[in-house]
Amino acid sequence: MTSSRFRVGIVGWGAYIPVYRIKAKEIARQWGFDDRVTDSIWIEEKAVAGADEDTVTMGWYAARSALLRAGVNPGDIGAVFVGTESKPYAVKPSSTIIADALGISAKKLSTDLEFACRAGSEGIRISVSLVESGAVRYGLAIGSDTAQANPGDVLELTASSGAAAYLVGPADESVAVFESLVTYVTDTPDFWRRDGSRYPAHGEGFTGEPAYFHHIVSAVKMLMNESGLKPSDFDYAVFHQPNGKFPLQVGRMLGFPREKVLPGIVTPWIGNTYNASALLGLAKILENSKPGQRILVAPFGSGAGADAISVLVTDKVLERVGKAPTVEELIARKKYISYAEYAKFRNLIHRNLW
Amino acid sequence: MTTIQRVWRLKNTLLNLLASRCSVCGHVTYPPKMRCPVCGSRELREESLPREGEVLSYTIIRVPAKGFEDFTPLIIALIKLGDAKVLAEVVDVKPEEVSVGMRVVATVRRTAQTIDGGVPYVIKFKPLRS
Ligand SMILES: [Zn+2]
Repeated sequence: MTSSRFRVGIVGWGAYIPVYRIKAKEIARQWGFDDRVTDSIWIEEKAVAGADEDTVTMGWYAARSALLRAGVNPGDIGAVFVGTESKPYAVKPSSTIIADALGISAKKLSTDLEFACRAGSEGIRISVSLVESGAVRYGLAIGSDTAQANPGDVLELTASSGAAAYLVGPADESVAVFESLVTYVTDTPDFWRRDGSRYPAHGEGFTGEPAYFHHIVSAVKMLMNESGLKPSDFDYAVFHQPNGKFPLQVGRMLGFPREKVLPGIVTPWIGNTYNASALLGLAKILENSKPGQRILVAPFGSGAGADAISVLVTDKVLERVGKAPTVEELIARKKYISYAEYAKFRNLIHRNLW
Repeated sequence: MTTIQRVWRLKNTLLNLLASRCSVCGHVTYPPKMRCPVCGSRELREESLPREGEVLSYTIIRVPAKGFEDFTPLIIALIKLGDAKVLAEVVDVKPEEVSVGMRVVATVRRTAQTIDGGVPYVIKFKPLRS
């Protein structure tokens, strides 16, 4: 796979987390789960999008923050990708709505990508290739989801809403440069949603070992082999976070000490934001990183696949952190809601529309 | 009720907060008009309003128009944005948390679906610090 050493980087990044939170224990009580189930997967509360929020509105917010941090002319952005599994329209791109609202020129590539939770990172990989080839100056990759879960399914404890956006561009303008990027993808039936069905299904006990762990471990080992890097060369490791437990576990399997994984963990306080999950973790790390530090980020998507990306932080990161809300600020600004309010916001209540 | 095509025609006004400023008396109107509502002049320039402003007054709608039930209670506020006054929805707060003088910032949100099943995106305002 390709490796793009020091020619392309992250010029700007942005995050969005809705203001509403529901306690995971309240969801557990609603369905009669054992209280301990939330502790066993380490989920405390999850972010809930308001009734007027969706993949487009959250993606717009995150992308706007990325542009504010980057300080680039929206007219110079030649590609916009939205990775999501919760599009407002089944047919009609979300990326064009966001791009127009941001004032990005019509002369661009633009599409929605779908690969469960890792379509957003595929958007980053495509953007890196486009910038590297000279086809575009900047590419905008957004991961945004209002994740659905069948009410009463254990997934409901974690499935949440959020967005992250990365503006990819020339290395000399970047807050972090891409050192190497690899992807490991197979056909694995761990989690899916058929057309027309409201909620996803998952292979019980199948989402862990053959899916999440196998793909992330394979992608990260591939990156290590190709780049010659070792866990000790990284200051931080960020993984996809379906819950709080899995990223710590996969970090351990790969030889990353707990203290390098913990700073990038966000799911216990906001839930699994699907396409934004690992990318919000990376944003949080960037916002606290020092120039010269090396970060591993490994998103995962069911179906299944994982990316392993190594980035090196530059001195430009420091001046750009304060130009938009940080992940920690967005996590801290919250309002608790009841299960009933959550059900109303997420359209779980059936009523006659007319 | 409206159609998604009508919303699309107003997209710039809605999402970029496009207003008109009178070249004669300086009055700023949102949405933009062909004629100044104060002095009647037709010499108007379009300009984008600032995205941050202040709540001048507000009302709470608890019995909404058909289609807005998901968003009720609706908080509709008169917001001072630079030299203009804009009527818009305030979100991410409960009715008891809104106040005159509250600082707000523009954000993109969806509103009630159109009669043809479209999803309209509009500007709403949320607290600057919440
Ligand atoms: Zn006038």
